[in-house]
Amino acid sequence: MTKLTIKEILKGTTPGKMQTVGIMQVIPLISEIDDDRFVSPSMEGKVGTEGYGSMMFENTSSKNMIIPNHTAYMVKQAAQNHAMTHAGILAAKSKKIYNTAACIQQSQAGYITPDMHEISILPFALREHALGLRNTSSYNKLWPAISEFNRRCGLADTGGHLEKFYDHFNKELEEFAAEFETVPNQVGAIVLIMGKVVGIDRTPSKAYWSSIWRGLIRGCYGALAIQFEKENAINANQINSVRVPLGKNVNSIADIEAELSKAELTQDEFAKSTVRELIDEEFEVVKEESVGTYERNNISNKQLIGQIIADEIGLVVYASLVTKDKWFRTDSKLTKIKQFDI
Amino acid sequence: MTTNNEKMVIAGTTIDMAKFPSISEDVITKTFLKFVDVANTSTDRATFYNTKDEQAKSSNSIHQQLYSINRGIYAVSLMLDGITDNSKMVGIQNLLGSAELTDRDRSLLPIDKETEVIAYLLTQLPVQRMLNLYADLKTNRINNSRTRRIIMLSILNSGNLEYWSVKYRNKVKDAIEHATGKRYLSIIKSILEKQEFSTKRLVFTQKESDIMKNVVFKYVHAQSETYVAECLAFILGCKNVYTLPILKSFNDAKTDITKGNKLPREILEGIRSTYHKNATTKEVLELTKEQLTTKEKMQVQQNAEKHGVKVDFDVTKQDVVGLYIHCYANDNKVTPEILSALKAKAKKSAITSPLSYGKVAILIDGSGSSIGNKTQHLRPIATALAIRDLLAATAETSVIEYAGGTVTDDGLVIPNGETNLAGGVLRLMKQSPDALFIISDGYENAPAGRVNEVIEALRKIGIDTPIFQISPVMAGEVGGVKKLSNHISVLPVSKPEAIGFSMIKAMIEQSAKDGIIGLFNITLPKLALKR
Repeated sequence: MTKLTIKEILKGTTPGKMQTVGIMQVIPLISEIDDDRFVSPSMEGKVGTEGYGSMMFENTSSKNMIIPNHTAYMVKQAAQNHAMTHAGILAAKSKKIYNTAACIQQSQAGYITPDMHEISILPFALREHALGLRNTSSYNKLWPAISEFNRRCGLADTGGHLEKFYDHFNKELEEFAAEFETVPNQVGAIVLIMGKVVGIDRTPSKAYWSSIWRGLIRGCYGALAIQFEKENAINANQINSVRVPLGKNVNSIADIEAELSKAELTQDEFAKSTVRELIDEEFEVVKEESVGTYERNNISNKQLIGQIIADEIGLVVYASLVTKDKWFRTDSKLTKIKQFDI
Repeated sequence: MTTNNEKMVIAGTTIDMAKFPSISEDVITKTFLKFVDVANTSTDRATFYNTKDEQAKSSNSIHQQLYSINRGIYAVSLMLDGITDNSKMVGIQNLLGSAELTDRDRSLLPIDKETEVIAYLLTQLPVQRMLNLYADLKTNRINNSRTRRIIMLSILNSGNLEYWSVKYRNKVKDAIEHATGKRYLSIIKSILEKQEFSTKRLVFTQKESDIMKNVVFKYVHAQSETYVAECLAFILGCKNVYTLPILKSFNDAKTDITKGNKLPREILEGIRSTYHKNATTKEVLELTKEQLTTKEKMQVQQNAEKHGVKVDFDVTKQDVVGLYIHCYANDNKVTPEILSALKAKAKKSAITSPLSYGKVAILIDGSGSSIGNKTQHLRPIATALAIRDLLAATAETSVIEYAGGTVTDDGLVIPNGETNLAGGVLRLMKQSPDALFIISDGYENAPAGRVNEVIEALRKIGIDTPIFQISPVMAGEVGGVKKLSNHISVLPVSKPEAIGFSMIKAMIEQSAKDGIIGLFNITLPKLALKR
């Protein structure tokens, strides 16, 4: 596999009804296919650290384990919090150590005891950077980026302590995580901020998705929402540019119902067109790990970068992609220019 | 309308309205409403959205605010239907812990009546919570004479003292020790160790008799002194021969497990694991099945069935929210017996509810968040269903819609999906109800704010049907509940019967003074009630 498109990555899924709260939108990805060949580290198994920058995963199940891209653990025990800088895959009943992980709690000593810990995903702002360092073995490789991320969110002199961000904004993140809900048959999501795609995630099954959803929406996208609001003055009109308001010209309940349907259709069309704009752009694919017939690949194009896991027939069973910082900060008018056509 | 500062007698209690707080009525109204919001939903557990600490902090601050306005108003507010056990416990501690005479002098409620209120609140708490409260009093060093008296009266006069002595031995001992002091308790132990309970009479020297009277028996009025003395001896670990059935059963079961049939299940289970390692859990379940409380029977039913033991519980004795949670745990099945109990309970609550409608519309949010968190799993949706039944029972006809969730044939809602309530509001309003109740936690995402827009549009076209949001969970982040719209009243409830709050809320919103008089009117008559 050397070339790939979103069409192939999201094969077997359809976009559900978009959820909108404040500046963020989530388009659920629905699938009738529930591929139960995989578990996540939140479903079975153990995770711990065996050295600084070295994460150990033990898959105790009889299924393969997919470690989500940028899995992070912020533990309560006196141990250095750690995060993966890429995704991972383990065969059934196996153990694997990734020496490419990163410490995310600069001055805390101690190793994480192998157990099932609550999963999180690195904040959006760190993920592209982390992928860039995925082949580097250095426990402190994320500290400068963490410090800068915290500073941009208004937390000065934190060093490489990611937990300081989560502690400081815990209340906001909890509420944010509660605002969005999983829907029946959901296996993934496309996440947008102010109508701009910031991430695409698909997983093999409903159970897998449910097991990582909180870590993803709170740890990654919730962190982005906070950062975005800290860096940009948002007003109600900007929010309404994505959220379709009801028309005001109504004289009966039937009129209001018609306006509601119209708004829902417009919102639905917005979700579909968002996906449509993504589907043809090709990704460069680089193979990085294989377990049995499964492959982990790094993929990137102008807009997105991330990791996928594909099976022996090339079917993508897992994908976690984020929008590149440069693209995210470019004006939508420029990024959405249509291709030449006559 | 009451404007004078006269004294009034309500249910035998003189309320001196001259002591009505002299601060602005607006502050009283806002503080009372905020308190009701929180005290009606606050538990000592985390919610889907907030940690336990956040809940406690938010709750305690609002308790203090109402207390500082007037401790009499605060005390009777704790008697309102629907106030959670946790709120009652916080309230009792605040009342017992404050020795400020100026607070008492300013109180609308005489201090002796306040003590009666505390005693009433204690009768409303499950025994474990009452004993936990006493442990908190000890931790917080609240040990004034009123506190000591209340502890002793509540424990020593209980008809369940024998059962408590076995089931909650250490907690009861700690509570009594807090009230009497370690030294006296040690003296009492040595006095009781000399008693022969089989003679059915107590033998004391004059000095011992004086001590027993002053430390223990002066509080005993509802039980015999021999009964209390034997229980107390057991609690204190005296090595006497016991004659009361449960105490005897405890000692006998150590040598013969079949004699433990009078004991609580977990106590006999403990004896089994220590003294009868060859006996099985099934035997313990079989022996103790008559001793389980209704709640315990529900909890152990699945385990009992696994072991082939049939444990029946009386569905009429369980609260409606608990029954719904039981149905969810029982493969989402509602048995005919439970269904009939749910209907009967809804009907009964409807009779005493201030609500009465010709046609009521009910919209239930069955989205993913109504599943609750790990410790309160399914409680929000179970509460919503119980409220649905009550509301439907208050009206001649009802129309019901569900937003999100999957509705089973038995009328249970399996929570899932996004929160899309706006369409449901419109479908229900087309049926011209007398009132619309939206039972929702207030979190909306399809998109956020849509219900508010729809209600604004309805008002614009002249439809002014009352719309209420009933919120079955607490959203501590806003110090109350999360509103779906600024155009509707929000009623936070943790138990269906708490809907009666709306009446007091409506009154107090009109006039703080009239509302507070109404508050005394509906709470003080309860002092005549016993557990």
